[in-house]
Amino acid sequence: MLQYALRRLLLFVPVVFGVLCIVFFTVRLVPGDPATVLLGPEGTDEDRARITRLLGLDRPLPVQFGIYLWNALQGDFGRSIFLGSSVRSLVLDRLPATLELALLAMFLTVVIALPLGMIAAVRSNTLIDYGATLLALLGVSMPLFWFGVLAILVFSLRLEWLPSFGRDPGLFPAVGALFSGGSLADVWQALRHAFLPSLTLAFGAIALVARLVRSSMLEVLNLDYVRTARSKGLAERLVVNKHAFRNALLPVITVVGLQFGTLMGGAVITETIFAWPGLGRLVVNAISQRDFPVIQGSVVFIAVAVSVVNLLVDLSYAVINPKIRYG
Amino acid sequence: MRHTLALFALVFLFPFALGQETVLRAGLDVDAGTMDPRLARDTSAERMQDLIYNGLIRLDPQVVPQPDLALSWEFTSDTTLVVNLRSGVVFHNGQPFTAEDVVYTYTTLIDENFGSPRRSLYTPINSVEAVDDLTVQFNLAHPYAPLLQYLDKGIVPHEAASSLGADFGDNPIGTGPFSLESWEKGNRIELVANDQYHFGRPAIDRISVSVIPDNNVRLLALESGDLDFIHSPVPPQDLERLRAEGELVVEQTTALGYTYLNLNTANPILSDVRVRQALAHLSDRDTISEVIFFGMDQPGASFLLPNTFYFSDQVTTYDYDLERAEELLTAAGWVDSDGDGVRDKDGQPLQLELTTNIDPNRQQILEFLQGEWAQAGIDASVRVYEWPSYIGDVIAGNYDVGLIGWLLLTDPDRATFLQFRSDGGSNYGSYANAEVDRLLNEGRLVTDPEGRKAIYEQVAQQITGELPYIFLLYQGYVALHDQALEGYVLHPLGSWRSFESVSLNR
Repeated sequence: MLQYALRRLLLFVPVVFGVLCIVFFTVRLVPGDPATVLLGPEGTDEDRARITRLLGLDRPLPVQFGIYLWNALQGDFGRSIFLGSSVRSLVLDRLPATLELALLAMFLTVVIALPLGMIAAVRSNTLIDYGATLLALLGVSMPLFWFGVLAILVFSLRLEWLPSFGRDPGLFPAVGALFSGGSLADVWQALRHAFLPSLTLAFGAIALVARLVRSSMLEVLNLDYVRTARSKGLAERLVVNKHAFRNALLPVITVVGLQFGTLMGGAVITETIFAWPGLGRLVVNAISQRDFPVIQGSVVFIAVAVSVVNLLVDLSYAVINPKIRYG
Repeated sequence: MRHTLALFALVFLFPFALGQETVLRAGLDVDAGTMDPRLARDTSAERMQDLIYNGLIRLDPQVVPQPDLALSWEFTSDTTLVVNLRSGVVFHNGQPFTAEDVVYTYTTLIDENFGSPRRSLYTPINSVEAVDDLTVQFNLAHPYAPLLQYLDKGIVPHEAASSLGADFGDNPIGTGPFSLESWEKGNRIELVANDQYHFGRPAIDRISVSVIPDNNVRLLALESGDLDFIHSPVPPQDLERLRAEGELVVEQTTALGYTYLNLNTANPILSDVRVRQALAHLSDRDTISEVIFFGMDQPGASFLLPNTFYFSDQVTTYDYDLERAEELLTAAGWVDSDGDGVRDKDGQPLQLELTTNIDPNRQQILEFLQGEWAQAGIDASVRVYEWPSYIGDVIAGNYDVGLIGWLLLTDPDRATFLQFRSDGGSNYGSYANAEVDRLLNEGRLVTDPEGRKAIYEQVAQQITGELPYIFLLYQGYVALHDQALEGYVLHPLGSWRSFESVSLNR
């Protein structure tokens, strides 16, 4: 297993290099350039040429790529054209916010979707099943931005239970501060801020995963070994929880793992609605301004993060099903 | 017992003492790109500049220069401006403010290698020199009347800014009413009152600025009491409701910007002034202002903006008039010869593409115009795409009719010099008029305000007669705040400078 993990880690190198190549060249193929955006409509040709030269964008593409690669290998991903700060610090500042949101959303997905799907499967074609299906249908069909604004309207403006926006303080920093005299009140405050965004983010995933658990469970519950278990006289709870559930979990883990990648890079809408300072918003803003260094740097970070999660998912298969071995 | 009392006081009263800090919570749509005023390009960066720095001058709500770090100024010749500076001013880091800081700020601003996006406004400056500790002299290459209007750039401390280099934008030091305490990018900016502020310590202790990109959510945050102050952009359709409810203060003024249709005069159809005039008669500015903007943006007439010294209504205006438009189009040779509902000339149909960047209100304007123009037999199509590609196309002249806006027009020169001169850098539609060229050059040389006013009025008459632009709207500026905020002064630039003298009486 260790050997397998190492081999997979080695594969990261071509993956990251490939991602870097694709991003580097495609952002330069898209019409519109940073100097034009930076100067706006007021910019003169002379100004644009000057800024392009200052940014080093007047050099031949292979030279630009070579310089970028050389610097990136030394951990220097350049400076943001529009924000001035180094790309590394921008990405590392945003990463905790995105991870926090993605992990909380994953947590909510799992604790809500698994029981929901299981109940729907065990009590298939009953009112409970229909209710769960309806909820799942709502989840996949309600647009995120609408659900998010609705949630703010209800929970912040009307009921005044939860804050309407922002990350204040971050959950990771608040939990970290507990070890150095921080207060539980800060953690509570952080959770209150994170609840609506992570629920909004999780809503679609909950629906998807609940439906998957239901169908996967139904399939497993009809298999021979489950019938055997039942005919042995095992309690239904044991049959469902121990025998069936474990086997129904494999496809679910795959999907949940993939969802994590979506949550990492695709949380843009949620981050925008709730003013959450995450990586998604950073990337989208960078794209809309043609901030090349930020686009490149963040996409590489996201690619690495997604690769790591995929590896963890693959490794977890072996834990859940001992028949799967890597060597 | 005494110890117990002291402990009691410490534990229970200390938090109350802390709780008395007055905090103004404001919301912004985008984070500041930088806090270095020389590199500022977005409105949020300008707002931070208002709070952290002082310029030589500041522009009052009538956009007239008033002394700030400068005590007085004088043009000793056509090309020499001498500025006397205030004494006893200190930067947030305790360093005294001197002429060297002014020299450094403006020298870097015009330095080709520094990368200031607003450099072109200052290029007529040849050099800046310190006459003594409290006097600076600007030497100009040629007379440049608008210069004073642009001397509101925040002054940075020479030593700190040069030693921090590119990191100065993250660690700003100014002389302004507030200093930066922390900046969590994309999320929150915390500013604290400057105890040493030359014009008196602000009444509020802290400004906490939250970045909330979504216009609706920012408004919801204000309504739910999580914020005290927000300003434009705000959803125009909510203003009427907010006024009726009366829970928040709604203040509105015209901003220093206009929204217009840029007609590409290099296009054979649009090169005929009669066609341009017909389009102006077909563009119902009143309806656009009332229906799409709920009166927030007002119907526009020219680049001379209301509420400024240079405003004039002595320009040609075009009321909505379908019949007049049809006459003009027919006179220009465009008639519907094949009866398909679209006018044509020499076998060519009257087709125009209307383009703009992604923005719901702008898209609505174009879709509205598309329908209006069709009534006169014009086959107009609408294309809306993202800003970098769009502005690239406009600059390259790849457009027929573009819907765009100009902002921060603190001087009529800034609304015209690059835009309407035949070799102007932002004259995308290739408009050429020798008389306009002459007048615009003259507008830079004449320093007497009344004389300049007459010149720009003539330019406006020429431009509204020939219509390289159809002026649709004067942009509005709206500020919304809690009743508890007192002393806030609405400014057409959206300046936050008056936060130095506001109070919060909760």
